[in-house]
Amino acid sequence: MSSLACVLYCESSETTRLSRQTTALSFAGRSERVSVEYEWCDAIEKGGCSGLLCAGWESDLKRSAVILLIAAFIVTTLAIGPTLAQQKTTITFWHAMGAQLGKTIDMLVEQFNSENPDVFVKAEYQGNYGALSQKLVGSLVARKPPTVAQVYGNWAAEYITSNELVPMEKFIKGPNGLSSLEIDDIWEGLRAGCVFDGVWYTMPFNKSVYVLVYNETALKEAGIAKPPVTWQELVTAANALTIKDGDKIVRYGFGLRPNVDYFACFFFNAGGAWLDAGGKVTVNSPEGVKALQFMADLLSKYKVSYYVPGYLDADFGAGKVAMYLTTSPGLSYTDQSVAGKFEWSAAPLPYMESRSKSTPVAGTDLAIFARASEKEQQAAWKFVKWLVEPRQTAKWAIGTSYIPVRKSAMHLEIMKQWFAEHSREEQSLQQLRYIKYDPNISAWSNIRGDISEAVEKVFLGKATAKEALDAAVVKANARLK
Amino acid sequence: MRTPCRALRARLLPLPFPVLVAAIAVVLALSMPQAAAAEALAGSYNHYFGNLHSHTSYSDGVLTPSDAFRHARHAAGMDFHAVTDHGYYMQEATNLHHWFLAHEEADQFYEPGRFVTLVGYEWTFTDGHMNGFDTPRAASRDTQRNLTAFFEFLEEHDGIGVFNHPDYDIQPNWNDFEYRGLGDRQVSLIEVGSGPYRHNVRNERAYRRALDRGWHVGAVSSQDNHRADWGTAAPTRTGLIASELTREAVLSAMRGMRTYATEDSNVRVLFSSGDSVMGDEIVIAPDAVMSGKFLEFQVYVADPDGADRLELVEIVSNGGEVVWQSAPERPQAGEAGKAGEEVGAYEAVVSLTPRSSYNWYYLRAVQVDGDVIVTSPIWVTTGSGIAVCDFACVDTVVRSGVTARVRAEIVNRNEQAMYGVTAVLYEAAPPCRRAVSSQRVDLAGWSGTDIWFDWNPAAPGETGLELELLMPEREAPLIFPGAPLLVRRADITRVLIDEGHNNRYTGYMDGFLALLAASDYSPRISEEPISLDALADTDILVVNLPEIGFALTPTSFEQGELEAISAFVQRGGSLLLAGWSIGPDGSRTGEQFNALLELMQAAVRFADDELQVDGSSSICAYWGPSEVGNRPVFASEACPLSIEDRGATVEVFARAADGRVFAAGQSIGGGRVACLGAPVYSSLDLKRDLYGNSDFTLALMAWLGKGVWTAN
Repeated sequence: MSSLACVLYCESSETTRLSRQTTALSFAGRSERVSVEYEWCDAIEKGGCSGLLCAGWESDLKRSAVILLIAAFIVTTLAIGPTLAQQKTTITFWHAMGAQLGKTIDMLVEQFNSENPDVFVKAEYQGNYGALSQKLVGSLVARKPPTVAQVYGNWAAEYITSNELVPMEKFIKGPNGLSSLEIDDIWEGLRAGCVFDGVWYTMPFNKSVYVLVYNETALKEAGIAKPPVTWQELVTAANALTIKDGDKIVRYGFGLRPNVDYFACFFFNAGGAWLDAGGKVTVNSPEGVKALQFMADLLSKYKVSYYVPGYLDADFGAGKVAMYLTTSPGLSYTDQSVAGKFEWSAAPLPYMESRSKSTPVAGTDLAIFARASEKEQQAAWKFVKWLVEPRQTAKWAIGTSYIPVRKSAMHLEIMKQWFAEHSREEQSLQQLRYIKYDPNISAWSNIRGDISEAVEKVFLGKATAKEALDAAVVKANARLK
Repeated sequence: MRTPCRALRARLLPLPFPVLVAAIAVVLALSMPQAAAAEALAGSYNHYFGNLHSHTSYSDGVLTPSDAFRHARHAAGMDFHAVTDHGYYMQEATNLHHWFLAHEEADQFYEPGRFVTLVGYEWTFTDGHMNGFDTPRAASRDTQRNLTAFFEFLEEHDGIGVFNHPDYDIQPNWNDFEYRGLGDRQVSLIEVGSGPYRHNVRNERAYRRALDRGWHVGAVSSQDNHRADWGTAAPTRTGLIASELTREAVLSAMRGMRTYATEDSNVRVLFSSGDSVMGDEIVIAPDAVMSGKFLEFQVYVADPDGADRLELVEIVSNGGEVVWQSAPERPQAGEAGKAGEEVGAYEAVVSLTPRSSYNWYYLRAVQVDGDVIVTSPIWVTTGSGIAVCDFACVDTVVRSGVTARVRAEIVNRNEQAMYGVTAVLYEAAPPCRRAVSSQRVDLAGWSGTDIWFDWNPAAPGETGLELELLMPEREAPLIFPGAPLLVRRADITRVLIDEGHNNRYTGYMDGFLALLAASDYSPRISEEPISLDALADTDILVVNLPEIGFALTPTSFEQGELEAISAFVQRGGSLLLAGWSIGPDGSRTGEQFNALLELMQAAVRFADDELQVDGSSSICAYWGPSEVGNRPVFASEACPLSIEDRGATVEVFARAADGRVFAAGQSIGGGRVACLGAPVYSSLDLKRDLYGNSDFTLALMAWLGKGVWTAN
């Protein structure tokens, strides 16, 4: 039955090739039998079918040849199939990558599955990060977590306290581990974010940094030669880029969002640190107040900015705002929104003083769950290790605009060529030396909420920066107790 | 096939009403039970209750649409329920199959006559989220990347749009409901009640704004469930009236806006006029506006639960004005029966006189337990497709003999542009009406156009503005009244607030301006350098301490500016200086303020310190005897004042708890100077209900205006 289904997939034209992919997707999460079918199809394609498929089906001769070939494969695979299926280790990979990002994940997983006949990775999209987090927590309660998942540092911290994760260190130091050269090849800043109490637990995966996006055409029109580097330059440029029509603002110089991530972009660049030496949240430090006050001033004092809860790329593309901050994968959305209407580019985040130049690193890491069997854990490690190999991390970066997590990926021809064509994405890499990340503590999810609330309150004119951050610190530190 | 629900119904007006009901709308409230028309009309509709916004695990909620429908029907006891997962979760290559699965599940749970299931989607967009219904696919932020694209998508499939949770605190509300004709064609509803989880947010302000700006939208209340509490998170419901409980009838009622938002789960409401019901537009002749002719509206409210008595019923119209109100006395006809049995409906017939060529009226009912019910509107227009909003004088204070600026937005709800419209501004203080100014204006189709007028009010007193629009091919003009306003005397105290020196709380002076404007001052903000010329029309100058740092203006005063201020005071002007505690990074210092005080030979100085109590940067300053209504003043990051010359006559207005001086003043030359440790009149500080910042500020302004310090 399964082989018949396979023949049906492979026997028809381009249209079915597409439907085959879709079918495979909708099957994700079902039985292993389906996965074997899927792999067979791949094997046929690799074995020479694909060329014929592309060539079309003009002649009966060709058709007969292909059918013969397929038949030969069926015979072979029927013979070895059951053995393979028995030996194959299936692991689940939960992720939150939708749209183009999801397509890139699927492409990579498909490649891994075809290159590794002993492992089958079921990639399962769980919705956005909120949904992924919710579902991970649910799965842990139900004692049925996936084998591998994307996790934020603070989620990982929580899972670690209940021994739900296997330290990546176990595999890195194991027989199929990483050499010290390979370890050094992973950006230090990204690696550091994966260490919890001195133990390396997770693997950097979809990492990005914040950059300043600016409308180059508008900047030129306003007589500004280069994107703003300092906060003062940001205010000056934003003011020059703000267009008023009577009492209405037609275009804002700069766009803000009322959340902790945008705040971090200013907080770090004011020299702020989330925690003091004693591990207490000190976001109400003079740096914190300065950063939040500066954001509020952009809105109310200088009147060069506005804020929206959602994404800013649509407004940027529509010319409603001339500069905003986004992470590197946001650049592809920006490009779609701009759609060639004007020139635009990206630059490092403006800083308050050059010594505090920095950028928050965003995105998740990969974690392997302890509930998996040793065999599954090893299979999961094989997948994780493979995903961050230079060749794959480069493909990942190209498909998604995330940062390649390996330095050597930069020497790959495809990567060089891509950066040559995508100078904006290269800006992210320039910032890798200045990255700062969130504390890996389990309470951080909620503390992020406390800080976001403070930012919102100030934007809404309900509290001063100091009052709002004081209140956030009281709440945050109560969570640490 | 779209049901033609937005019917324009031409109606004959009843005979002219006696002239005593003149300009001000309304009101002949016959709030006695009249079991006539309303009941008859109510009998031809059934009332159904449900929820039009919820999520499942197909996006960021929990469980499945099947669970949601089962719960909504059996646990919540609703008549209809919609699952509206986020569109971007249901795109090709990710989870497209969820979209189709949701429909299959909805079909399984659909039982005509008993329970209607709907599948829509939420389109998440920066300007505000929207729900979409009745389209073959879900729109997604990844595909429909801006508002126009979403409206085009809805138009392509003739879908129904809903403005979701229009809370100004969380989203910009589609550029504050800027009118867009294409969208208005498809968007039928707005969440007047929206539930983030277990409580309901009332968005009446946004609803009124949308109606004022020309949108045809009706009221719904949605729960936006993200947990397994579909319909049980709160008793809030969307009520709708329809002849039967089928999917088609529910969709038709949604398109026709035959809906109301209710915080009570089963109250039956009908707002009608003749055979028109909520959601309809009634067309009247242009000359019927302000003619004294009236329209009769029927009000019908019935709750099967005896305890849910009505406390207040009102009709709300343009700009949120309450044009009719009644506090019903209960119990009424029918007497109390068993729970679940109708207790007797409240009915009233209300006569309203259309004041404008574009009127909307909705019914608002409040029950004794505080539950609010808001219906969709009935529009009464002249059929021109023209609405006017934000018709007002933009100046904070209008003074006789001083030119003021008047603005109006003319919304052309027609697809076609209108050229050569004559707009005439009238000053109307009945019985007088005089034309002030006129201009020709072209109105783009399906959008709003701003017009501006100069107006020089002749005399102080209460007056009104009217806008008359003469359309090229219409004989009778369209008339739009503005809100009444007060013209003040030309010689009231003029206050200038400096924002030209990167001053503290720049951008937070709105509350101060409003307070002054309401208290017979004429305030304005200036970003210009200070000179005697610039102060020529000023009685009181307010300067908050400049901040040294990021700025678009100078961060300190030129010596010439300090000298001008000193001379201004010597000549009789008054000055208010407000400080700031010393900054940790040297970004603020009282040095220049002290230099100015020295120049004026004043005795008060700003100390480089911070007034703190228990380590907090916020303090209470106490002023005057502690009588009722004389509450302490709130200040944050304030600095103490010192009094240098003990022999000088300095009035101390307020002190911190530790006795240090927070506010003080003295007469200098012909004028007066007051110093404050912090600007206590920022918009932030004036909002603090527990403190007396407003009273204190006004007392201080009165002293600066050469009065006496009232607290002593």
